[in-house]
Amino acid sequence: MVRYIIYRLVAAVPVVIGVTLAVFFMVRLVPGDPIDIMFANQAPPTPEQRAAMRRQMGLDLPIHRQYLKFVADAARGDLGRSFRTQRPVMQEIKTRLPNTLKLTAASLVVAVLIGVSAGVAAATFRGTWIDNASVAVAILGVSIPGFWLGLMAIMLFAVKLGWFPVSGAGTWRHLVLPAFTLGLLSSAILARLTRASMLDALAGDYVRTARAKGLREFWVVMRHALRNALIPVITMLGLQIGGLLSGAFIIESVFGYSGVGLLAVGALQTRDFPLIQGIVLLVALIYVGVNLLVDIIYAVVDPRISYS
Amino acid sequence: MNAHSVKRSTSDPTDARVAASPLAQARAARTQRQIVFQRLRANRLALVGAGIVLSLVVMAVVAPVISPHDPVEMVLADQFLPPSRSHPFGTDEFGRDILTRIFYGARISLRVGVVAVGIAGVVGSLVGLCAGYFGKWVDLISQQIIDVMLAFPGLLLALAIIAVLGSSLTNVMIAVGIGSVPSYARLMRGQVLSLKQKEYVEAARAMGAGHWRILSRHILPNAVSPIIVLASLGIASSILSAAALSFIGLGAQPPTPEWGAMLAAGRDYLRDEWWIATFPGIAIALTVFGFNVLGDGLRDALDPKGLE
Repeated sequence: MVRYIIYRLVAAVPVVIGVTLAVFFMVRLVPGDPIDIMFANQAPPTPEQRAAMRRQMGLDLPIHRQYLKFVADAARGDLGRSFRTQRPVMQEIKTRLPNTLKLTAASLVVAVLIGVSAGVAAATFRGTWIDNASVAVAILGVSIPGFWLGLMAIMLFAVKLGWFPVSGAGTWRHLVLPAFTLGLLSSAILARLTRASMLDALAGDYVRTARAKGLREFWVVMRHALRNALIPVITMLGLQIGGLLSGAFIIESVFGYSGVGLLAVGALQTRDFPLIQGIVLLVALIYVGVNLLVDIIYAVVDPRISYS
Repeated sequence: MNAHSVKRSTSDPTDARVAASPLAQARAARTQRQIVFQRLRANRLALVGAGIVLSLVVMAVVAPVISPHDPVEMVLADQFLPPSRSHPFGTDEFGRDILTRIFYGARISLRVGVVAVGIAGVVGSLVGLCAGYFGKWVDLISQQIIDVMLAFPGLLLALAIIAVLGSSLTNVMIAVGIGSVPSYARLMRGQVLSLKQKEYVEAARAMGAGHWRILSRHILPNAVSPIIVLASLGIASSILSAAALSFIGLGAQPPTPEWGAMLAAGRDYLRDEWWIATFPGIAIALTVFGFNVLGDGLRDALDPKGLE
């Protein structure tokens, strides 16, 4: 087990290096001088300003030294300053990240509750209207654009009924509509997977044995079938967290929800490169970390996985 | 040996000796194709999907003929007209007919879907083909790059690419296409790894066929079916991603009649002019649904189980 964990940690190292390289070169690939891009919306800099800026940003160093400086700075939490606000990128992200994590966690709860229940119900009542309805909703769920569902939710629950605020962040009422919008879309995929996995589990010998023992159907489904059916669902959750994190970028702008996603969209529109770079780096690293954690949890939970 | 290899090998003099009985196998190939079509015809949902996709194509082609209005010309006297006989989906804030803009939007969505999938399919397949066939350092390097690309969840990679290239519809197509490369590369690599062990590939190699000939005549035609399935599902997700990027202002710019951008314009008028944001969303959902169920149907129809 320990060897497996060490193996997974070591395997993540080249990915992390690759991510830092990709993010570092992202800005270098933008056509034009970074100093000109920085001053795009302002008066052109004087040669002195230009030279000072070049030194401050490390642009006078050879490219490999620039990269090492970028990684060393990032490791210390220094991701540069936003072109637009002149505030440290880390500080900008820090103030918004809790909101995005709250939204991601809440939508994950919604996705699991709805997706797993719908999948279990569909498999348990296979071939009935419950099954057909949940399959239809699952197919529709992967086809409906989240940003449109969000707008429709605002129109109905915020504008017409007035139950929730139209936009903003801060209270639980601000969280409900975005979390449901984001969660509902993910629940469609989880429902399809849970249904397939439950159908396999319900056909297992151990389920037949449990029924033969005279156990009530409810306990057969919950204790015997569901516990086994959830293993592939856990793996999918790791991938879903990535989907939810990037989905939050769009949903946050629909609801004007002040998270990292809204910050990123604003940064993209104004081409605030240090901020874009910082957000992309941080979200990718969080995603790599989450997947690593899911892999390790998965190995701990399921004894059938080989650690070699 | 499946359909493609038989068809190709009979046309290739070096392979004529490999195929034991070309006539019998050509007959088997025809039967397989018939089975695929029969399965597709029997799948009602897939037929609905095919119907939607076909209608979309027709809509895109005949848009200028069937629509009496101009998609971009402003008619300020017709601002905010609710759905009526002359404007079945109403008009927007510039008095433009929404149904007309949806017709023209079909052209853009189809183009985005096809171009993005084309980029992803060609680049991903080439990478997967080389990685799987040549192995060693080619495989190692390409897999590391793919792993790094996969560390950017969902739309994040596309957002990073747009940050470099700048906002425009063309760049969105490129970004969404590159963002989907890993799926195609992984799928193709897996296919090639299993196909290159097949007897007919070994036989061709033994007869002195070069790498190019083996790849183009024996491996690629046999590996292409799952790529087609992924592509048909990929068109759906590409349309969805591109619409999302246009929605947040990074794709199509006004006055282009792009569905995502139309939705974004409609968000300011949710209280009273509900039709502006509602109909483009339905158009996206229907289109994505059509490609999704058609892709699902194709996957089931091409499932090798029962084809042999």
